[in-house]
Amino acid sequence: MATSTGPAHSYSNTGPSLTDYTSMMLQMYFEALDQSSMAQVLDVGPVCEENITFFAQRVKRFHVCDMFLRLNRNRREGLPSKKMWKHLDYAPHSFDGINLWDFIDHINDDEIGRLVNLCHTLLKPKGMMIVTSFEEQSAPSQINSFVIQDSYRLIFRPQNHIDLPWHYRSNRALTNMLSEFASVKSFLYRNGVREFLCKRD
Amino acid sequence: MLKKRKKTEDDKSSAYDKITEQKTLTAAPSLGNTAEKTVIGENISIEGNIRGDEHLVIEGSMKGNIEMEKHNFTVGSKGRVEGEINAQSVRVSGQMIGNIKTKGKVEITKEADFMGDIRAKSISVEDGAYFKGSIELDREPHRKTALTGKSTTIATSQPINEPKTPMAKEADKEN
Repeated sequence: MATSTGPAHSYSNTGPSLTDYTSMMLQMYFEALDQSSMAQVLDVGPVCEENITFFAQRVKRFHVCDMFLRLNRNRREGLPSKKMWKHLDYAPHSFDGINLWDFIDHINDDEIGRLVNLCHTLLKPKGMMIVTSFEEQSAPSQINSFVIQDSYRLIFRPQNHIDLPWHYRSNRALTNMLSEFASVKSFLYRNGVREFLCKRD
Repeated sequence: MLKKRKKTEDDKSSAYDKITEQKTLTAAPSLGNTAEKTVIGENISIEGNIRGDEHLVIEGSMKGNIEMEKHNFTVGSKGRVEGEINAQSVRVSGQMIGNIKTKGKVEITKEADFMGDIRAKSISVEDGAYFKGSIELDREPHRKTALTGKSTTIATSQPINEPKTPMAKEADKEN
């Protein structure tokens, strides 16, 4: 498995400010989800009202399991991060879509392997997964929610109650880590956000 | 202790004093004052079901189902509830495990620790709340169409790569 290019970093207070953008990945994702009136989607957080409403109005059932907050709690309590995976205790083939957002930026390579494998199990065949990651020079100064606006516009909202390390990975390392899935499309934006739309065979 | 708020009939409070474990609590009928509510204090534990005709706030511990289709149910910031809720609207600020069904709104505040499934007309969730569960909103016809926004702004991005091809280099970025 590919490895990250460096150790985990702590967020500084001087990171670049993030500019909003229009997500091509999200548009393609919804075009796929719209094919089914019974779609079920899982979001790993952070909990975001706008996203909950947006998805819940468009899919049959929208599931949330806030792994950001769970990981944050585990770290504060000194629990090993591997214990957090028990919370993703859904039946295999439960979801048509999984929203990972930038969660992989906050866990180590071994945990990513476990997460990707778990997501592969939880997705239905042909199910899709969205992943985002920040480029090194664009890493924000704190954890942010990707907040969905009209026309697939994404804005960022700081989540100051969450304090997690940040791992930078190259594009190649990320695609290798996601190799269990077919890559549908990837995008790179001026604000340093990388988007990966993946599909289960 | 169980507290009655804005009640005019003192004799109703005595009925609540009889609440014990394993019993079903039925709140007194509303007298038409929509502001009437019952508060279960933080030192009270209840096991059993509750059916009521006035608003209910749980600041203590409650294990059982709540049925109050025409009134509001609140889990206060110190409340701990485990059960199924059917109420007009629901607000969760404390810990709750169980499913919520309402024809109105569900509010999950930032202090909340909620695990369960929600079926509601609308939902609000504050950043900072812990939430594990699912949401099913009562959807209006054509709502989906109204939300569909076709993005035409593609100039801000470009594909990094196609499947199994090398990633784009920094120089490939639009700037």
